[in-house]
Amino acid sequence: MSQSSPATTIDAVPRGRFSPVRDGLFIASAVCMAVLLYLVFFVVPTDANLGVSQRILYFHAPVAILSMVSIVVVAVASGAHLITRSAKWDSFAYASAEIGIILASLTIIVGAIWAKPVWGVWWTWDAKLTLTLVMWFIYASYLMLRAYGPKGSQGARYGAVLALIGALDAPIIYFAAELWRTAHPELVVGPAADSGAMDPTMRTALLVGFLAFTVLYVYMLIERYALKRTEAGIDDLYQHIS
Amino acid sequence: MALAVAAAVALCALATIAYAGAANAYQGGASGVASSALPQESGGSTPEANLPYLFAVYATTWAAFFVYIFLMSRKQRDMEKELTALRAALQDKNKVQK
Repeated sequence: MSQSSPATTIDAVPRGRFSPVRDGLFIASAVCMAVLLYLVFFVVPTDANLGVSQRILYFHAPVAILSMVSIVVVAVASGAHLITRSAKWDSFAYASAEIGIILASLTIIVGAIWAKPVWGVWWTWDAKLTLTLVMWFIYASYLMLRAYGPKGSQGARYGAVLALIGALDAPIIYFAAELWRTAHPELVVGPAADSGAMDPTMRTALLVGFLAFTVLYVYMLIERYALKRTEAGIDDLYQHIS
Repeated sequence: MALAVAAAVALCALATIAYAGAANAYQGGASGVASSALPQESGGSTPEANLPYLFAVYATTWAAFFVYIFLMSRKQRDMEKELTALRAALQDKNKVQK
């Protein structure tokens, strides 16, 4: 991997000390989350149709959108890795994939919990739900390939190709409710959504929700990336020592 | 470890707000009529009957993030120990070479 001396390598390994950016992001996400809770439970009116269960939207929508963003981040970083052959881009892609599978899992679990009171079933083979499950399998395949597939640069390249193909699922999920008129409601967030579909206070709460979860995602991404680089640095050291 | 403790404190604080908020919502504190353009609830149950689902969603989401951050924190600690051992091994190797 690296041609540097052991002394240089050991100094290059990041250390888990106080970081203003990382810790600042963590605090910012906690503050945003507290503001979100205040808005959700004390400001936003109860939905006329869905009642209390509509408040699930402020968690479900940001997590779902971020799970799609995460796979696009994996694809972009993987593309950059294929072009530059830099291990840093590969680490970035891996970090985003690991967080992505948590977000995708949460999207499915939270969606199922919401579906029960609204639709009367935990799961239905709706286009959006099915495509989200496909995305979860893409994340799982990527991580399994990296864990059990070829090691080193070959494994990173295979993973990068898988991520680039897998990311095609994200826009299809986003537009699934428009393309196939099934059980899942139409778009209420994002560039293609009807801006007048929501109450203004609900929209504000949703935006704060997006901010809270985005900051948390960035924090976890930076943290996991640093950890992945440390892992790579330690592997490099073992090679120097042995 | 400090990160995990901070995450736990943040989680407890958020859970307290959520609990107070849920109670407020249940009592009709944040009531009103608004539409989110989402489908109408089926089954004919009262809105309050869905509070456990709301609680389950918030608890699951925070628990997942907390567990992940805790695992990352623990891994970081383990790697710092490994790094210390490696530094010592490298110093010993250098001494022997000299």
